[in-house]
Amino acid sequence: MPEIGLVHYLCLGAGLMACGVFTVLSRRNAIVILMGIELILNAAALNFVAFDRYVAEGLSGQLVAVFIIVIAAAEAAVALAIVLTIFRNFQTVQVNQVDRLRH
Amino acid sequence: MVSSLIWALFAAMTIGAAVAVASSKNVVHCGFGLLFSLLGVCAMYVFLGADFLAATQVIVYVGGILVLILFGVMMTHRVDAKNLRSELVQPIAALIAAGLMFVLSIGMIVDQVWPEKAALEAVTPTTKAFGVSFLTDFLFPFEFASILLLVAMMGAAMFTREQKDDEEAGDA
Repeated sequence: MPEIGLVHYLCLGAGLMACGVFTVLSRRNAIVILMGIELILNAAALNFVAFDRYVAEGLSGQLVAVFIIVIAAAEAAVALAIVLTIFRNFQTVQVNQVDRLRH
Repeated sequence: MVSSLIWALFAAMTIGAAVAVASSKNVVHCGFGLLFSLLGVCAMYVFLGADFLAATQVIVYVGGILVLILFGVMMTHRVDAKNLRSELVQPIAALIAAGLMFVLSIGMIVDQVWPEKAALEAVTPTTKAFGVSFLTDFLFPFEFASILLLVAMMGAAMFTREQKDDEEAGDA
């Protein structure tokens, strides 16, 4: 078993990213699409922390990862509020059925 | 050697759970796949020596965002729905797009010669450095993030508030 290095973390990040992109592209349920977005954000944060450990000096990569988590929290709160409002008005969360601006 | 093996175990858990999120048709299974994937990323942060970030990952992602998403799953299904299903649409096209992206990025990662540090620093607690950075070099992003969170909270509360006019129309 080889020593774990930067490349291993980057490959893991690429795998997470691909799973997230597949989820976002192949679903119509708005909440599952949100889960895919969380996977993509996690992949990005993992890459930042890996570069911070193996390449950069200081803590800047980890700090950026903290801000990514902040953005993800804000995004999840607002997006779920929008999804709940859509469900109240349309009785569905399938994104292809929400095609009217007023009801 | 042993740590590499443990790393591989956690990496397999992370990727396996992410594949479950991508492929499961049951929305609740997707949510639990996301749980294990986020915990796997948390383990990666521990391997990378990011102790504060690992704790934040558990508290914010697993304790906050995931619970929020599961609440969303429970609240957005009609009472008469028999099961919480979400079909895959155009899985072939999505697989081609995501697979192409994966293969291209792996090719780029393996091709590139990354500038690595000569010697890795010893893993030390990062919390003190975090606090100092937030109040010196990263003061503006820090304050901006706090305002962003406040605005997001107020916006989410405003969106989901029951409106008087809607009640007459009789909402679900």
